[in-house]
Amino acid sequence: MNTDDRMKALFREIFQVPEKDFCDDLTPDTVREWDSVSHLVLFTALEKEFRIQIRSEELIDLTSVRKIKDLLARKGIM
Amino acid sequence: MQTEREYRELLSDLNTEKLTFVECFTAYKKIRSFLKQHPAPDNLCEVKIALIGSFTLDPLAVCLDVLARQAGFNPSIFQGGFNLYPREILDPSSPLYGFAPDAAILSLDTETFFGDACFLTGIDDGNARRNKIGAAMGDLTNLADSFLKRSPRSILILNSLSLPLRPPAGIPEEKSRDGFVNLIREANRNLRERFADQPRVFILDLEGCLAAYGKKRASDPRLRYLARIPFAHDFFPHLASEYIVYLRAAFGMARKVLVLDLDNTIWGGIAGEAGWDKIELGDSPAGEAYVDLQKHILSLSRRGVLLAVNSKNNYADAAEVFRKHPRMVLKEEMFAALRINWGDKVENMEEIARELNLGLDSFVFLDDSPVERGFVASALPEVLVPRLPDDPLLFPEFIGSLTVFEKASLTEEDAKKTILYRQRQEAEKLRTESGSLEDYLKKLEMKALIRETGSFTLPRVHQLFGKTNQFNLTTKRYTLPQIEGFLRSGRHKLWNLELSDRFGDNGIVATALVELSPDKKVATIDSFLMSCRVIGRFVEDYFLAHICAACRAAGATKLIGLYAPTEKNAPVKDVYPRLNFNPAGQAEGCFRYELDLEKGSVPAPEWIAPAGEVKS
Repeated sequence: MNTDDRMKALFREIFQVPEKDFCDDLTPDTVREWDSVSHLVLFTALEKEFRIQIRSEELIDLTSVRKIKDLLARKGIM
Repeated sequence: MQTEREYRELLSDLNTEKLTFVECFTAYKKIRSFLKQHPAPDNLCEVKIALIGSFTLDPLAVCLDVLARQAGFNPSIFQGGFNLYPREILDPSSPLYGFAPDAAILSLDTETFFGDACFLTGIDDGNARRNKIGAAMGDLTNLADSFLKRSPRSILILNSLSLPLRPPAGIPEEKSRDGFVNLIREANRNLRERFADQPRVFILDLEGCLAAYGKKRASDPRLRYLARIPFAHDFFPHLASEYIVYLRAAFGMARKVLVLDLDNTIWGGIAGEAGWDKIELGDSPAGEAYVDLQKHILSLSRRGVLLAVNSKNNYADAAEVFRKHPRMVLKEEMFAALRINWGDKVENMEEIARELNLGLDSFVFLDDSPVERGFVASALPEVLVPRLPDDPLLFPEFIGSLTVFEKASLTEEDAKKTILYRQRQEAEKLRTESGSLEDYLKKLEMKALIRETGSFTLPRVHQLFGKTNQFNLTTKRYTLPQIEGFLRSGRHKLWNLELSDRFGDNGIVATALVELSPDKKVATIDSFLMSCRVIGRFVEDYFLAHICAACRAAGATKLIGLYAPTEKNAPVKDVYPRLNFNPAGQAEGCFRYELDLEKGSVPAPEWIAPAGEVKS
C-alpha cells in the first residue's frame, strides 16, 4: 500500500471520510469529525502507522492532509 | 431482526485480545451514526454510567461505551468535566445527580491527584508528605461517602492510585516509611479497608491493570502535556474492559456453566487409546499444566460455576481416569452433567442445557479441537467458545484470566452449587419412580421458609434477580443498591423463600417484590421469580398464597400481578390465571392480572409445609 492509500484508510477509520472524498485539501474545517479529540487519535495513529515520531510543535501545525503529507515526506516517507 | 444483526456486526470486529484504541474509536463512531437512525436491540441491559475523574475522560468514555455494548449493555454515558469531580459530587444540583446514574466511575490518576507530592521539590520532609497524602485520601473518602448518600441506588467504582515508575527519592525510599511509593501503598490499603463492608463500592486495582498491560507500554507523557491524558491511547481499551468486568458483576451478568471436553483439554492424550495410566497428567511440563488447569476449574466451581463434560469417549474409559488416576483433581461427582458418548457435541450441549434447566447464553465451552469449537460455536452462537491456545502449557493462565464468571459477591450457596444440582437429579429420579405427580410431590416432603429479605440474604436475592430468566414474571434486573433502596422505602416488601425437601436444603429459591400503593390498598407484584431448579413443584402457589395473605393482613384490598412476556419466560404465562387472578388488560407489552383480596384467595398446595415464618 502506498502512502496515499494508508492515509485514506486512516481518514476513513478515524474521521469516517469515505475513500472517494479523500483529497489533499481536507482540513478540520471541512471534516466534521476532525476535532481536538480525534486530532490526538490521528497523532498516535500516524506515529504507529508510519513508525515516526511527531513533535508537539509539528502536531499543532498538521491542519490539512497536504500538510500531513509534507510532514511524512520530511521524515522520509513518500 | 435485520437491525439487530447490523448492530452486532458493528461490534463483531472487537473480539481480539489486542484491541487498539483506533479500533474502538472507529466502532464508536459507526455505532453512534447507526443509533441515530435505528433503535438499539431491545434485549440489552440498559445502564446509565457516569464517568468523572481527574483527567481528560474522552478516550476512556469511548472505550467504555463500545466495550459495554459488546458485553450486552445498552449504555448511556454521562461524561464529567476535566478534574471537576469534587464539585460534581458535592453540588446536589450538579448534572451528575440529574443524570441519576446506575453506576459512577471515578477515575483518578496519581500525578493530578497528588500534585507536587510526586516530586521532591519542597516536600522533603516525610511528615509533610504523609500529611499531604493523608489529606488527599481523606477528601476522596469524604467525596465517596457524599456520593453514596446522594445517590442511594448507584454503585461507585473507584481505583487504587498507581505508583510512579521510579520512586522520587530513588533507592533510599525503600528504607523509608515516608517514601512516596510506600505512602501510596498504605493509602491504597486503607482505601480498600475503608470500603470493604460497603457492597456498593468497588475498587479497581489500577496498578495491577497497568502491570498486566505493561506500565511502560501504557505511558506516553506527551499526551499528558498536550491534553492531560495520563496514558497511551491503546491502554484505554484494556482499562475500560476491566471496568466492564465490575459492571457485569454488579448487574449479575455472569456466565454460570463451564462445559469441558476431556482428551487433550483437561488431560493430555486420549484416554481410550493410551489407557488411564498413560495419559499426560502430572510429571511432565504439559502434565503439570493440566493439573493446574484442573485446579483452576475446581476453584471456579467453588465460586458457584457449574461444571459439565461434553466429550467423545467410551464412558468406561473416561470413568477409569476419574476414578483411578492419582493426579486427577476433578472427580465425577463435581460435575452437574456428563455427556460422554460418541454423539454430536451440539446435541449433547442442548441436552445439558435442558438437564440443568439453564439457557445456552450462560454456557462457556472449552475444547482443544478447533473443529469441535467451530462446530459448536456456529450451531449455538449464544455459547461462549473461547479460543484455547494451542500449547497446553498456556491453558492454566488462559482459564485463570477468563472474566466471564465474575460476580459481585460469593454466597454459601455458590460453594454448594453442584451438590444442589445433584440433589435435584435425585429428585428427578424419584419422580420417574413415582406413580402420580401428586404422589411424587408428597414424597418430596417439602418445607418452605418465607422471610423478608435482610442484609444477610440480600446477595443471594440480588443473584436471583440477575440471572433468573425462565420463571421470571417481569424480568426486571436490579443492582444491589436498587434492591437496598426497596428494603428502606417503606412501600415495598421483598420476600424470599427457602425450600428444603427430603434430599436436602435447596437454599433460597424464590423471591418476590411487592409494591404498595400510597394508601396501602393496592399491592402490585413488581417481580416474582424462582430458580429453575424447583420448577414443577408448585412452589409458586405456596409463595403466592403467602403474599396474598400478607397483603390482606396489611390492609390491601387488591393484589395485582404483572406478566411481561420474553423469549424465555413463556412457561409462566398462566401463573396468575391459574391461581384465581382475573385478566385486567395489558399496557406496554405487560399483561395485568387482578385478585380481589376481599373476595378471592390463592390456594396453598397441601404438599408443602411451612418451616416457620420469621420477620427479620
